[in-house]
Amino acid sequence: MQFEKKRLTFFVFLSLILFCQLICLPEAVLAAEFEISRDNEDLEAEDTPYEDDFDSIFDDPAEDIVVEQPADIDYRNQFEESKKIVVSGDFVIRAGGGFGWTDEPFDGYPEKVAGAYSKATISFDARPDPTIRIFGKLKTEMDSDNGSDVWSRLDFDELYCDYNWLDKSFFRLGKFYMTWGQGRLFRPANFMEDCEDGTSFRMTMPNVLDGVTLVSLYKRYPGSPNDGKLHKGDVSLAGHADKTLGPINFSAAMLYNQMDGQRYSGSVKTVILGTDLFADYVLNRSDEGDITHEALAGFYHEWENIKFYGEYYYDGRIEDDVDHCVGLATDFDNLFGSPVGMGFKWLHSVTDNAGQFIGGFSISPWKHVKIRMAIPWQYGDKELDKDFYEEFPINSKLAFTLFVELSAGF
Amino acid sequence: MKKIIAFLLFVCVICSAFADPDYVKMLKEVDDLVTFKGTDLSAEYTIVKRDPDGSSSTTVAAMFRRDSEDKFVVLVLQPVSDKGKGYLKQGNNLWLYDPIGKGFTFTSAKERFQNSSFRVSDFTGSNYAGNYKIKSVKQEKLGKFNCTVFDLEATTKSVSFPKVKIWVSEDNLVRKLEDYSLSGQLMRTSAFPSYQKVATRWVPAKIIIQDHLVFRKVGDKVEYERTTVDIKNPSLNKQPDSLYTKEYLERVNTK
Repeated sequence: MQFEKKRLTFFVFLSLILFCQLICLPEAVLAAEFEISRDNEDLEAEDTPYEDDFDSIFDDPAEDIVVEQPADIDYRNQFEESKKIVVSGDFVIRAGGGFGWTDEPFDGYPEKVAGAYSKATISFDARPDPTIRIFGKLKTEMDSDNGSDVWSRLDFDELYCDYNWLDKSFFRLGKFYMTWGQGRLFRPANFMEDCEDGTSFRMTMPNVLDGVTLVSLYKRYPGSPNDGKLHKGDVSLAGHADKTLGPINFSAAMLYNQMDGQRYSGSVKTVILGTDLFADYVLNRSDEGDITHEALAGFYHEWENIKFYGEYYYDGRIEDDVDHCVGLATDFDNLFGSPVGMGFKWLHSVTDNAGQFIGGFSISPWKHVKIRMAIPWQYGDKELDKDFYEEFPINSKLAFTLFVELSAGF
Repeated sequence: MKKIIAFLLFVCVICSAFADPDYVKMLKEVDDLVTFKGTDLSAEYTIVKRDPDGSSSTTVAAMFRRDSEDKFVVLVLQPVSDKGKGYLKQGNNLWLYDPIGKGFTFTSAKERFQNSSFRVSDFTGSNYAGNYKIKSVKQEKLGKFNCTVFDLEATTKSVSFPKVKIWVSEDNLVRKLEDYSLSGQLMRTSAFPSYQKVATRWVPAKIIIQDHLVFRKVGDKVEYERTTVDIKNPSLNKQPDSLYTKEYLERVNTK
């Protein structure tokens, strides 16, 4: 209890310092940039050609040349082959706190929480020749919000081997991630969502249509005994095909699991005025023969530092509880050239009048350091995003949080 | 009187019939000279972007082109943090691999390359004859080059800019290019001061791009964002079909 009190005092104190810095920082940052600009003015005035003398480039240009012997260089080697094993990694530590209310109305005394989270990853990438690649990523984390104050066991987040057969087929075997379907906020057509927890064998034929992929996924079915034998439902088979016709990309996929039945999807995607427009349709056929439907439609637009996307999702998996959901999200990076970012994500169930909203703001005052403020708000009883509270050490309906994050990669 | 008017109309029709096709033919030659139909082309691009505040950033990329199928792949070599980041263009469609989401973004090829004034579409050869119609033509001296200046207007929405003005030297190579918005605002000026001939076709050796939308004023002068592109070691080595696929982008990504 005493320790908790001290820890809380420490984090409240830390938050206060950060908040004070945040108030002062924009000025400091702007002042620093102003100085740089001033320093450069004299230099630039001398050596930068201006609009008026752009054409002076043509007064005495280098002569055109004839390349007698085109270079016998295969640039692919620089990506496909490496004499050395490339090792990389990153480290993140985040600490902060917040306060929030677990029940509506939000007029009582808020619950205060403080905590810290750390994560470290290390990856290796070996490409001894263009036909083979071995990649692994190890991860460990410490999350005080979940009551843990020691590092978790170092475990493989990804570990796989690639084999390129005569540039006609690619094989990948191991534990790895895949994403199918078009949605970013709702992912009904992402049949490969579970592959991160299992072992997969993937064969891709990139020159058939615009890519055909076959996957066999092994993952112990929930409830099946861990006796080293293969049980019904442990293996799923899936396929995916892509074809672009004119400006429209079509894709189709299927998944079969002996326990869960079959899932089929069809997707279309196109670009109009620089905006991705897409739609997914999913048909689920259970092992008993029951058929349900899901559908998704959405858009995605990206400007230089801004991402903006929205989706509509029809979920007809439960006959008596058909749901219509909408989602909207935006992400501003380096706002007006400053180290400030902001964004929000809103998911709403029209049928249940419930949803989740998170608005956030971040500033990166120094290299590797980021200060984040976020307001997560959940209304109604439906949880649309299962990862909603992942980043927050507070399980409240409405919360105000402030963190400082130190991250570095190598 | 009617006969005179008819005669004048006849002369006008004849003149225009003989004048325009020459320029259209010239535009086709301009396109042909920078299009590699029978082979793949690969080269190393060094792209240096200098902001108006004086800061600069450098990207080195390997570019692979197959003009006969209207495809190209661009893979970043430097900075090391972006190594393996790739773009695949098929027709007017562009694919990007997102190593975080483990998926592909499907977008248009008008995007800026690595936040510079160089567009992804600038990696390809030109198709002025197919995508634009001639509005006017005049002769102009550009430094040491005697140029024909074409004022062009797009006939398709798939191009990056709806209006362009190109300066074509006597050897049918584009030396200067101005890109305009639909309203006529000057967006970019590009210079192609030197070329390199590979087999029977040409590749720019250097491109200098001035972005008219990113600038600052220094005294009474305006300083624009400037991107310099150096293209080195062009190669005509044949590439496998699998290079121009999304799977390849995923395979070479290092994240």
